[in-house]
Amino acid sequence: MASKRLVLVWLCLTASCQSLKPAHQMQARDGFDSKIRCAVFLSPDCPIANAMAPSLGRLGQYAQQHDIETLLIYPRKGLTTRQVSNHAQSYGLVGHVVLDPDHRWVNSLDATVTPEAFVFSGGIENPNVLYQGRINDLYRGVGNRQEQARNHDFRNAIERSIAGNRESVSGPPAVGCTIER
Amino acid sequence: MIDPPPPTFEDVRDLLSQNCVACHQQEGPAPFSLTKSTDYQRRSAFIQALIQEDRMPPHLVASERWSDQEKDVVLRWLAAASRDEDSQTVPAPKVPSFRKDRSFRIPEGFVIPKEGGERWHRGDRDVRTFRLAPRADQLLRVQAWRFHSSAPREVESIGLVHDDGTIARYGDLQEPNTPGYEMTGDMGWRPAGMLGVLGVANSTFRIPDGFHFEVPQDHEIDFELRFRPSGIDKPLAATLEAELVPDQQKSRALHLIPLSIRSWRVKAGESGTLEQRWVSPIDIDVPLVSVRAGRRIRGVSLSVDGKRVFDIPDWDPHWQQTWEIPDLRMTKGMQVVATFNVDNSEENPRNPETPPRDIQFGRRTGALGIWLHAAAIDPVDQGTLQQIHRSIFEAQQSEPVETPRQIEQSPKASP
Ligand code: HEC
Repeated sequence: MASKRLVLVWLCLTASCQSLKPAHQMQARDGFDSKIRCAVFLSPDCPIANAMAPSLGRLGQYAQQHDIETLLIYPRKGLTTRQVSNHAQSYGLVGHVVLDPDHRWVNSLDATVTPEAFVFSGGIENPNVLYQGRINDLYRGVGNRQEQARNHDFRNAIERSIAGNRESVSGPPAVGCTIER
Repeated sequence: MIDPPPPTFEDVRDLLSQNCVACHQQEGPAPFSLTKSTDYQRRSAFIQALIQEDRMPPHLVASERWSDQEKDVVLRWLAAASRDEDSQTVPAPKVPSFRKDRSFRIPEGFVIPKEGGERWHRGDRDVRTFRLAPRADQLLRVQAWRFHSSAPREVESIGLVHDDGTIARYGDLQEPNTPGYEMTGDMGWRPAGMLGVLGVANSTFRIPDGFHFEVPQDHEIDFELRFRPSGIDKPLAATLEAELVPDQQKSRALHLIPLSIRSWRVKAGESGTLEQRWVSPIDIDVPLVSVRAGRRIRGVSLSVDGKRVFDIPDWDPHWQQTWEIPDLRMTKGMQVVATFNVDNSEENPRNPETPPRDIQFGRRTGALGIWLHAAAIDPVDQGTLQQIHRSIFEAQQSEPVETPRQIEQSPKASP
């Protein structure tokens, strides 16, 4: 079943998130497929993803408070669990770290760059994507960093789904480091 | 037709070494190392896109960039290279020689914050001014600077200046518990960058032979730091080293001729040009220039008697530094024009405000400018040159707020 493969959860980063149930249990008891989750594609050395880490940390926390889990997905081949969990920890990210060297999540969600954000329901086999796009507008292009983000598209998307809105919205495209196919 | 065989690693090694590894190495200013062939191959699509768009290597002045042929060889190598090849080393380019004659440092204790944010000083954010110690023990004739910091990836540029200590001390008192202060680094009529701007690409900076920057005895060196938060808090330690011109050696001091606009404003959506002109009253050499301009400036250029001698068509303050102009000599009576292309429209991808806002900038030493670092050809004129900076500065204080000449709109019909 899809749910078995869904458990690419390697590490729980915050103390409180340890109380979250493993994904397959949620599937069985809580109707996991309709549950909203967030995913963010990351790379430890993409300066664009790293620059957004502080806001991602806050968003992960916010989502968690609303019982929404965030997957921190690292698609690059050759990364180790230790490398990515160190990265997530030192940048204050909140969520479940996932290694995706075979690009199963990349292909499932059709991710293109790091950082790229998703809000979705369903599993890796049949995700229902409610939001795909940038986290915010800190970068208006590669190499074009603003001093501050003004539009927080990912946060808005999370808020919409907390409010029960299941409309599918694609945000402005994410700017970042290309995920190599 | 048969395509030529794709370039081999041997064909691109030196190009990558010169054009990438200078920055992309351990402790370098760039976010990851590109010191192995596989470092390129596993980012191949991304790197190809950046090279095609001329984002990397990031040089602003065309003469510092690689040629189209060189670029093409690297692109073809990237497109053809297989990720499974053995990793080969791309050597770091030779480090320029440097003799450390003096060393200055800032007090430790400031942490570059993990993200930018609203602070008390509106306008220039992510800017901070620091005082270096000790003071100059004698008149220093600086041939080269070298800047080291604990945060090479967060430091965008430093604009050097000297001061007798009174102005920076006042600034420091504003934030007594943390080194530095959150203000721009102008010291009265002496602007930050007067002793050169060191950026990502030139943390070791050699002044062309025969010229030097001068720091008066007992003055301190201060710098305006422009930094870029990187998502993680970074404690800042920084050292500036100076190589001096040997005592017996002849050399001419560089003085500042600021071609600057003290104050300017532009409406939302407008674009146009601003200009500053100056006629040299003496014969001078201008081996170096620096630029002060923000993100609403799309291009800057400099012409002498109608001939363009310096040109940055796509200005990006992130990559600012002091640049060399080879063989620029201006004889008495020659006119130099600094031109700034202003773009406060939505079309300007770097415009910090979307939608654009009406804005106005002002600064005692000039809100926008090209600075000539100049030396008199006749030693008798060196004193005059020193006065020029002051008199330009004083004259500037009564200049009105300027607005760009429109180039995008048709001129209004006059009655
Ligand atoms: C003058 C220094 C310098 C040189 C030379 C340089 N880079 Fe960079 N590079 C940087 C810096 C600094 C960054 C971090 C992003 C930024 O500051 O805009 C960067 C970022 C990158 C990125 C990530 C994308 C981004 O904008 O964040 C890639 C990929 C890259 N460089 C590739 C290259 C390649 C390939 C070369 C050679 C062809 C090269 N660079 C030459 C300084 C340099």
